Amino acid sequence: MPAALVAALMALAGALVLALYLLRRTPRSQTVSNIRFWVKAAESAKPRWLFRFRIPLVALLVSLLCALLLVALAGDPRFGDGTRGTTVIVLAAGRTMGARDGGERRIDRAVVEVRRWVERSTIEGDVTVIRAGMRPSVLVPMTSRAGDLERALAGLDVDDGPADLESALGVADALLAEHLSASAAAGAPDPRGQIVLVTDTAFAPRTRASTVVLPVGTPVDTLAITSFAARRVPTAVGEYAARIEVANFSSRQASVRVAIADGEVPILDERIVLDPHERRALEAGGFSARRAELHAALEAVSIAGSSDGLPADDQAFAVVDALERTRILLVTEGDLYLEAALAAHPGLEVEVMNAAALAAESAASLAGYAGLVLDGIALPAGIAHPSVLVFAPPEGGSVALRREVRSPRITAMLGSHPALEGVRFDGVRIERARPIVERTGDQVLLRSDDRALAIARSEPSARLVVFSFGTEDTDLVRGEAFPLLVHHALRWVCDHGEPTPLSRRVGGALESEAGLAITGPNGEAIGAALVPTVTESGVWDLGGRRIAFDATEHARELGAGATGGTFAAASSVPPLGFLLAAALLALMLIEWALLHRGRLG
Amino acid sequence: MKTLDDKARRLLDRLALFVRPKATAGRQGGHRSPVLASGVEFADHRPYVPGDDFRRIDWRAFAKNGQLVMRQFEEERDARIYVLLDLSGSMACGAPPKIEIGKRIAAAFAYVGMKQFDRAVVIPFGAGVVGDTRPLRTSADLPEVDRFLEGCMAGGPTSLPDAVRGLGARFPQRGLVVVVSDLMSPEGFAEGFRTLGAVGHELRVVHLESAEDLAPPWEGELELLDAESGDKVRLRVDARLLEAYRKEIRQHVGACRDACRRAGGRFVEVPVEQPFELLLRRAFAGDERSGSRKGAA
Repeated sequence: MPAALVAALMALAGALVLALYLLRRTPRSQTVSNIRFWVKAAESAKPRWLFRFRIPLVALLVSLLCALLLVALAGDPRFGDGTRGTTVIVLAAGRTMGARDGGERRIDRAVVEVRRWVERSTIEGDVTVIRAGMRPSVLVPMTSRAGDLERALAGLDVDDGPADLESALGVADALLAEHLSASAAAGAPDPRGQIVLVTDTAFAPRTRASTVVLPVGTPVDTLAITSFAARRVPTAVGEYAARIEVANFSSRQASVRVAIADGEVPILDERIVLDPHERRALEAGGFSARRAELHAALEAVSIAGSSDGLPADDQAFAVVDALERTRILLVTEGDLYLEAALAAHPGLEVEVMNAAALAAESAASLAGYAGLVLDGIALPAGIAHPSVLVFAPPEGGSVALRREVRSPRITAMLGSHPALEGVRFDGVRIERARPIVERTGDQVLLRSDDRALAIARSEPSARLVVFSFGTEDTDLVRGEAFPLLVHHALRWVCDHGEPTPLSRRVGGALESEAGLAITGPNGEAIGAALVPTVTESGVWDLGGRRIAFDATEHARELGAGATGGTFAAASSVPPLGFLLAAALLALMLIEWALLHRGRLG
Repeated sequence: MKTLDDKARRLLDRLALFVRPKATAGRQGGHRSPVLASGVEFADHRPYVPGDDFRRIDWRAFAKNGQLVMRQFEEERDARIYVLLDLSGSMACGAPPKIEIGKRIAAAFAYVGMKQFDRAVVIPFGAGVVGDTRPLRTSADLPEVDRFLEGCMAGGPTSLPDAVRGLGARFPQRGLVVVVSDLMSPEGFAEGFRTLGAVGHELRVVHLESAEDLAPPWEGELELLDAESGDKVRLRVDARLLEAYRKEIRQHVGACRDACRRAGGRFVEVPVEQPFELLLRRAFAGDERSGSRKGAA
């Protein structure tokens, strides 16, 4: 039980006792003909010597009952005979568990249920609670002490991403099996166990142990930010643009104020009305800043006849990094598409040379460039560079090639790779290409059936992206996204500081170099240099570098998976301690009433 | 304000107050007196002595016995009716308030006295005599009684002995003293009754009983406020205390009744909650326990 609740209950009880005391000490006023008769009567009715100290019988019984109840409370009484054996409780802590059903958060309701199960399960068995957030975690090891679990459940909150119930149930199953086998080895007769899953998502558990599912939550309406992004405008030095998409996950019309701010500076503030199930995108651009840290929020949400059930999906974050001058060497025999694409990036300092000039360069002179872009040219023998982007690689270069194919059709792309971020290849035509022979560890970015048309290679000290076709062999260069493709590919090959690509969505990992401090969105310092799973949206700080994590892609309707508010477990009875306390209070009230009416005098 | 309505007056017209001879006054009236003189009711014979009125010689007895004897007759005189009405604060208690019933009973006694041409005086008292009407002789004076009683308000303490002393100072003649009171004071009433008897008044006590006084229904933690003195006392009223209180009241009323009897008076208990006509009958009839003559009124 939260300390605040305990304090509130104690204050309430204190106020009640004080009120009773005051009521008891405030007699009714009654006019009588002559009080001297009453005084004489009181004198004659006064108990004689020993009887003067006699405690009225009923008051004595009431006091004894109160004392017995106090002793019983001290003994931590429970209802029934409890749950036999070992119980593993899996508590979903995904984003939707933060939704409010009738003023109460689903997670709070679920914690109440978990407490009841803990109370029942720790009578005759061990119990543990697994928090099923984006990554499952064991809140407290297997124990029979309800107090330990109570402390672990205090202050439990939800993640900004979906609950990984499957993994959590896997952990629960393994824990339970291990505990039961240990119990059997210790000679325990007939060790039994069960898993209790408390979730707001329809889920069919596949576990070896018997599983009880306690569904929480009812369908609720919500408005959510389903997409939020900001990036530099390639054609305007220093400017950036933001795009936000808002969805109405409700069957009612809704209105909302969409606000985007760069720190304290608002860049968008617009009120929109959304029809049922409508999505709408808003864009704002033309803002100049060296760097920007954007916070988008839905404010003053109004849904006709309803309310916004999940405030967590009303926020999103984005960061526009500062421009950094990067020296790039383009080696080409005159490819204007590539030159134009590179020139469009305000942060690039591009130098162009042909193959003959390249032959005169040494490894030391090339080391001055952050990256090389080779257009149909291979590096001279004996010279290497850690960051290379290649179009139409020649035979005998850094990659092995297959026989040329005509008009290959792109059948698959690795869209999750940072080099292809924001680029689609639907309808892109390629006249000819020489497919690449991929090596172990290569990531195939574009594939035509079993042929690799583009690969990304990451080695400990070098990165390489190779497109097996030239700019004159495809209409890709005529698309607006071609400069973006070049920039993203260059950014990836040049970004050696990050061993793994940074994910901007919650659920990804965050790793810093040794000595760099990681700070969470709320300013809390993270001790470890690695956060395996970022579960909280917001702007994180990685040694001074700001990285935004948002959960907009997890926004969805609330209630599609909910199965109603009824519980499979018969746990509707309040805790016995509360009942005993209520009985105590009732006894005190009865005693007071009897005393007040003179029955016990 | 009319204290007696037509229905009550019709009832009272059929009633009469009988006063013992020794308590009668000096004027001719309707009550037997201890004085043997001219009258209509034969009382006795006595021997003739010179100087007696020849007209009262019983010639029939002379013819029979040869002795001159005089016929004697009881003289019928009027009486003074003193109606002492308790105006202490306790009379304001009860449902209905005892003072309202007390006023009507006082007016009733005065009315019956006036109707039979006695001289009726209404004397309210509290710690002493508060005031009085003039001696009234005819029923036509009833409106004056009404006006007088209308100005009487209950309040303050009670002292019957002081009131009796005040009565003696203002009206030295003996008569019928009707005390209309709730007797809700532990001291004074028995002494007052003894004094009235000793002075030679004929005493009639109308005890206004209220259920609130005799058997109060209260229980619990109470702050009791004295209606007369304003004193307060805080008590937890329970069954034991109520029983002790009832016992106290019984003893007190019993002591008053005994004092009244010893003074030769008549003690009548009148529950104020009863209908007024029934209540009047009880006030004028007395009860069997008092040992008084049945049908005296």
